[in-house]
This record gives sequence, structure tokens and C-alpha cells, in this order.
Amino acid sequence: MKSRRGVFPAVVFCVLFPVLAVAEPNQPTVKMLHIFVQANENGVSFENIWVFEREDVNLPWEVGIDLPEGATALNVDEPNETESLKAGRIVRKKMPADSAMGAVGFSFIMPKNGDLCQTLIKSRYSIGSIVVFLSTPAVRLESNVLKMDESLTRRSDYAGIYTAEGLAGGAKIEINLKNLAAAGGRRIEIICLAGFAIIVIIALIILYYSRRTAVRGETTNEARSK
Amino acid sequence: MSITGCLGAGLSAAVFLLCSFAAVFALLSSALRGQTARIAFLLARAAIFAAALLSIAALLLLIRAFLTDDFSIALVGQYSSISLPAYYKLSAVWAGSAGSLFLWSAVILVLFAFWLAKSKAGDMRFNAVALSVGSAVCVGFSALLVFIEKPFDVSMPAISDGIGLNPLLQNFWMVIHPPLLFVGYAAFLIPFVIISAITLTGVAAGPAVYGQLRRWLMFAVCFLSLGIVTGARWSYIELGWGGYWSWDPVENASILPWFVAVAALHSLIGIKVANKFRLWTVVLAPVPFILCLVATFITRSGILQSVHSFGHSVVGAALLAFIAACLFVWLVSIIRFKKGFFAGPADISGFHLNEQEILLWVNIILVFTAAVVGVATFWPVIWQAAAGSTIAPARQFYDRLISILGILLALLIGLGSLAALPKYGNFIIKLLGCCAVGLICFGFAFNPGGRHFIISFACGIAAFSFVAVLIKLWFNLRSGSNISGGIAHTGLLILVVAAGFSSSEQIVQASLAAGDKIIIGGYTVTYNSLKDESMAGVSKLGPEVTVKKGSFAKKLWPYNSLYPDGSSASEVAVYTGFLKDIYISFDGVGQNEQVIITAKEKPMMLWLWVGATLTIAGSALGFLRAKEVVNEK
Repeated sequence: MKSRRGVFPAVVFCVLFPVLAVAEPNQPTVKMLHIFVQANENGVSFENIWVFEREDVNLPWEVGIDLPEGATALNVDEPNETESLKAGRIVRKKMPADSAMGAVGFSFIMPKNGDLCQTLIKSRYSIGSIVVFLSTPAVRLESNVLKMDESLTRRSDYAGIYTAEGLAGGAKIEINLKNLAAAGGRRIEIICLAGFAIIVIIALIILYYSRRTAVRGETTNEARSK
Repeated sequence: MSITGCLGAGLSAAVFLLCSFAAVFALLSSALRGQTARIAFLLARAAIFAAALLSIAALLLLIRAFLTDDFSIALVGQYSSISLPAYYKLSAVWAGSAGSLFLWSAVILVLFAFWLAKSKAGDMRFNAVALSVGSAVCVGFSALLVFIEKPFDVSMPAISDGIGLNPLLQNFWMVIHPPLLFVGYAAFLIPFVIISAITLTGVAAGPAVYGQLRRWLMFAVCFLSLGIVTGARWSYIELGWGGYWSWDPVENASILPWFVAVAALHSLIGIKVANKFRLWTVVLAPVPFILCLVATFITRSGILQSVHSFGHSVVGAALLAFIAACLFVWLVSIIRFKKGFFAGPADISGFHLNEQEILLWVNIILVFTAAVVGVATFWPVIWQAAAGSTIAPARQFYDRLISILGILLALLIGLGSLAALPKYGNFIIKLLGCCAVGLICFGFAFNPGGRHFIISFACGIAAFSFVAVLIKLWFNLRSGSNISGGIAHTGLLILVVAAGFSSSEQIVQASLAAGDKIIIGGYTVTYNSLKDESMAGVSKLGPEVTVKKGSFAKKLWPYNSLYPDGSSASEVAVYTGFLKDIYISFDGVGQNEQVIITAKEKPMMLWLWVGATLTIAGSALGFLRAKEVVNEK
């Protein structure tokens, strides 16, 4: 009996798991995800547009998107229809029951850690395609799944356009931004400013000592003439 | 960071530091006396020479990056591509805001260093102040390149091919137009420096300084004219609208220094022939350089809309501060003006007309033109600030203004030439001869109901002045005097007439099937067939046409170019005749595979370029002979 009790749930699980995994017939998928990334001095702004689709219509449906750790300043596009849950960590939107497609738009800011900004986006749903539009030049984007599309980048005004396709549900998308050129540029600027300051100080010292020598010389000449 | 990026940024920083050193030590030299002052001056001078050399090295490094497709440099990726021909890769160096500013900065440093090397040792304080003013300007430019517009910024992420050069800029004239313009702009620094040094030190300028002022103004006017004319030629054959000057804010900004510099040159002549016009010279000679900065501000600040501008850029605020500093130096120069600044010979005997008054009127007209064009250019900004809406003067406003002032200047050229004639000979006969030729030309050009009266009038006045200039040229050739002014004035008169005639163009737009003809300006234009060609990834498609008149026939091919990146550009075809151009542009393919073309008859276009070339040749000759002119009595 003891062993039967153990086997039964296992059999049930084995029978039901494939059904659960394959089923969820009305599970939405992300048709496309566009992320517009712009870095400034305060942090990195991520503007997201998630476009969902599902197979069946006429059933109520809603989607939920987990925000990455550390995201602040959440701003949703349609506040009447979109809500944030769990202290702003999840963005949820109820979609129209009669539609097969719907979009969620929101933005958040990720803080910078020195010249590095690390973002980890976890998707509950499978994603058809992701396009990340990077506006800030002199910023390097590194990712585990995204690759830069040179052809698209060349034809656009963006500093870089990165794409990825066909990600499974639960995938983790790392977006790491490194502000390398700014560090180098600032170093040059600091050297220039410091150099300029040193030149001015040296000139002032020369001026001071030359004037003092001149005054002394005049005093000595005056004493001699007396 | 790439090696080129690192090295370039390092060179830019070194140039900035050397210029700063030169400015501070030159200032120190002017505040000190004796051996210390001399050592400080020599060190500052050496720093400028070193900065000029490093600036050339940095420019060569950037050119190398473009020619070798080093896309680790962001500027290369933005304006060049692997498939771009080598000569366009070279012009892509100055296609962007940072690249062109870099070129201008390098040219300024080189010309300033050249002037320092060539200028004879004179008064120590004069030299020190001149060096400190010039170096301060160089500090400003190098600071812009270190802190704001960085040409050696690296490309993040690294790319394997660039965006490429705008198709409109892929034209021979655009390869040479910016460098010529920047040489002109940069050369105006020297008169600015000389006048500032004269007025700030109170040292009277001798013939050597007078000669330098004249030479550098001539040099700058010559190159600025070349820059303007090459830009106009590009506009004529590349933009496809059939014009060469559209009174665009950036075009206006480039011609403002020209007007003022020409007025300053005439003031210098006034000092020589009438021993007057000293204040005019002190006021006008530094202004072209300030106006060049204003032109740069208009191009880069985004304050005025223009097809030539680089769009909005943060460099605008820095340039505004730069302009304010230069204006301050200029105002101080005027306040400190004294009559004894220029020593010039007084030799006003032997002239029938009062040459002094003619020079005064020339100056008034040129300065007035510059002022009106300047205010009209900034009118949208002024009106926006005053009334909250944008309103810009129409092209007709500029055309009318310039046609009236151009005729007045043409008349003054004739009167000035007659005034400069020596007393011997039959002056009255010469005057009457000029008037007779003028009247005859007016009669020939006058066409009631057809041509505009003002064009006929301009033709008469130009003919009058043309004969006067020829007489003066003949006298000058006989006496071995300078003929550069005569050549430049002849060119200007031809330019005035040609510009007037070219404004009355005839346009025909037609949809043609193969074999169809249109007639324009006495020429028959026949559409033969649609021709296509592909070269280096660029597809060209357009109608081949034959322009025919009598036994003369010439095939032309206006086409549209489609570039690999999807961008396109229209290329016109021009037949240049002795008296008129036939200008054909391809507008597309219509129904039933008929081609749509626009044909224009543009009168006197050849003479417009001839006039401009003569004007430039005259100023070039004036520059080459400036030394002899100073010594002439």
C-alpha cells in the first residue's frame, strides 16, 4: 500500500504534465518587444512596448510583466487600464476580451553603478522578436541574447539596434551597458583643465617674482642714487 | 578605446594645452619687461608653432582614419563607408560638424603660425599682444574640439561599415568648397589680431603693418570668394533647382564677411590715397572674423533653419560666448582708436572727381548691404522674440535690395576708375565716351514689355563702368601700376550684368515619349531613350536627350542615382553655351513610360562664372602684389 501511495501521484503527474505543458491554449505570447534605451547622467531610461497576441478570442485575458530588480520611476502609458502590483514590481494590464492582440507600454529607469548599468529582464511568456534601440552613442551594449544588426543601425539615427528572435517563456535577457568612451573623454578633459590651471599658476608665479625683482631693483637703484 | 581615437584625443588635448600656454605666456610677456618678457614671448611663439604642427598631425590622422575605413572613430562611421570613393572619403572628413570645425581650427592655427613666422620683429608689446589675442582665439577653437565637438570620439559599439556620405555632398565642388571657405574664414583672424594689437598697445602702425593688413585681407577675400563661388557652382549643378544663390541663412552668413572685408580693403586704399579712413579701417577690418564666427554659429546652433546647417548642437552656446569675447575686444579697439594709428602718404592731388567721396560711398553701400542682409537673416529670430511668431523675408526682398545696391556699386566702380585717372589727357572726352557706350548698351538691352527695365539699366551702367575700368587698366599698364583692382572690378561688372540676365529664366516642363521634342531658348531638346547604368553599387537611370541648334548637337543625360543604402539623388545635365545654358533635370517616369523632364534656359550663366573668376583672379593678383602696392606712391 505504501508504495502504491507513492506511485499514484507520480503516474498522475506523468500523465498530466505534458498536457499542462502543451496546453494552456489561451496562453498569450509576446509577438514583439521593442525597448528604447537612452543613458544620461542620472541613469538609463528603458521605454518598453510589449505587443501580445493569443490564439483564441472572446475570453477575458490579462498579462503581467515583471520589472527588473532596481527599476525605478515606473511610468505606464495608459494608467486607466494598466496597474502596477507588488510595490511597483509587476505591470499588469487587462486586455479587451474580443481582441487577439494587445500592447503594454511603460518606462522605467535603471540606476548606474559607476559606468556600468546591468539590467535583467525575465519574461513569463515566449517572445517572437526583440528589438532594442540604443540612442546614446559611446555606450557599449552587451547581452546574452541580443546581437547588433549593423544593416539596421546604419540606416537609422540610433547608435545601435540590437535584435533577438524566438525566446522561450521564462527566458532571461541581460542588457549590460558600459559607458566606456565617456570615461576616456572625461580623463582627457580633466587633464586639459588641470594643465590649463598649472599653466596659469606658473604664469602668475613668474609674474609675481618678476614684479618683486623689479621693485627690489628699483629700490636698490634709488638707494644708490641717494 | 582605439589607438587612433586615443592618439587623436591626445593630440587635440596637446594642441589645447600648447595654445593655452601660448595665450597665457604671451599675456605675461606683454605685462613684463626686459629679458623675462622676451623669453616668455619666444616660448609662447614656439608653443603656437608646435600646436600648428600637432594640429596638422591630428588632421592627417583623421584623414587617414577616413581613407583606411577606421570605423572605430564614430565620425568615420557617420559620414563614410567602405564603398565610398577615396576622394569623397577625403571630403567626408569635413562633412560633419566636428570634422569641419576641426579643419577650420587646424587652418586657423597654421595661418596664425605662418603669420607669426613671417611678421618682422617690431615693437615687443605689439607682438606680445597680437600673439596673446591670436592664441586666445586658438584656445577657443581647440577647447571646442576637446570639450564639445570631439572628432576622435570612438564608435560604441564598433561597426564594420559606415552610414556613408549624403549623396548631395558626393560632388567635386563639395570636395573643395569647405576647405576654401575655411581658409578664407581663418585668414580673417590676422586683420582681427593686427587691429587689436594696434589699438590695445597704442603703437602706430607703419607701412609694414599696413602691408600685412592689406595682404591678409586680400588673401582672405580671395579664398572666401573661391569658397562662395564653388558653393554656388555646387548648388547650381547638384541641387537641381537651377539657381546658384537662394539667400539661405547660411549662404547669407558666408557673404556678410565678404561685404565688410571688401569695405575694409577700400578703407585701406582710402588711407593710401587720401590719408583718411583710419577709423573705418579700425572698425571694419576685425569685423569679418567676428562675422565668420556668426556664420559658424548659424550653421551649428540650429537657431535658423537652413539646408546647409548641421542641425541643433551644443556648440552654439560656446560659440555665442566666443563671439561675445571677440565683440568685446572689437569694442575696446574702437574706444581706444587714435588718429595716429596709421601713417599713410597724403597724395590727393591730380584727381578730377573726389576719389575720397567715392570710396566713402562704396564703404557706406557695402556696410549698409551687410547690415540689411544681416538683420534680414536674423529676422525670424528677432520676430520670434518680439511677436512670438516666425516670419522670414522672401527671396524677392533680397533680390530687389541687391539689384539696386549692385547697380549703385557698378556706377561707383566706373566713377572711382575715372576719379583715379591722372589729370593729363582728355578727361571730358573719356567721360563722354563712357556715357555714350553706357547709353548704347542700355538701348540694345532695353526691351519694353519683355525684359525688366532694371536689367537694361544695370546693363547700361555696367557698360559705362566697364569702359572706365578699361581706360584705367590701360593707364595702369602703361605706367606699370597695379592692375589687380581693375581686373577684380571688371569681373564684378560682368557678374552684376550676368546675375541680372540669369534671373530671367524660361522654364518648360514636359512629359515626353521617345522621339518627342521641346523647344527652349532656340534649342530643340529631343528625348532619345531611357538610359541606365550601374557603377560601384550606384544605379543611375534617366532620359538621354539631344540638344540641337542648327548643325550643332549635343547629347545630355540627366539622371537619378540610387545608392546602396537606399538614398537617392538627382543629377542635372547642363549644356553651357556662349550666351545661355540649357539646364535639364529628370523628374521621373510618368504614364506609358513617358519621362518627365524640366528644361530651363538660363541666360549668361557662362559669364556669371567668368565674372566670378575674374574677381577672384583680381584679388589673388592684389594679394601677390600687395607688397609692391604699399611701396607705390
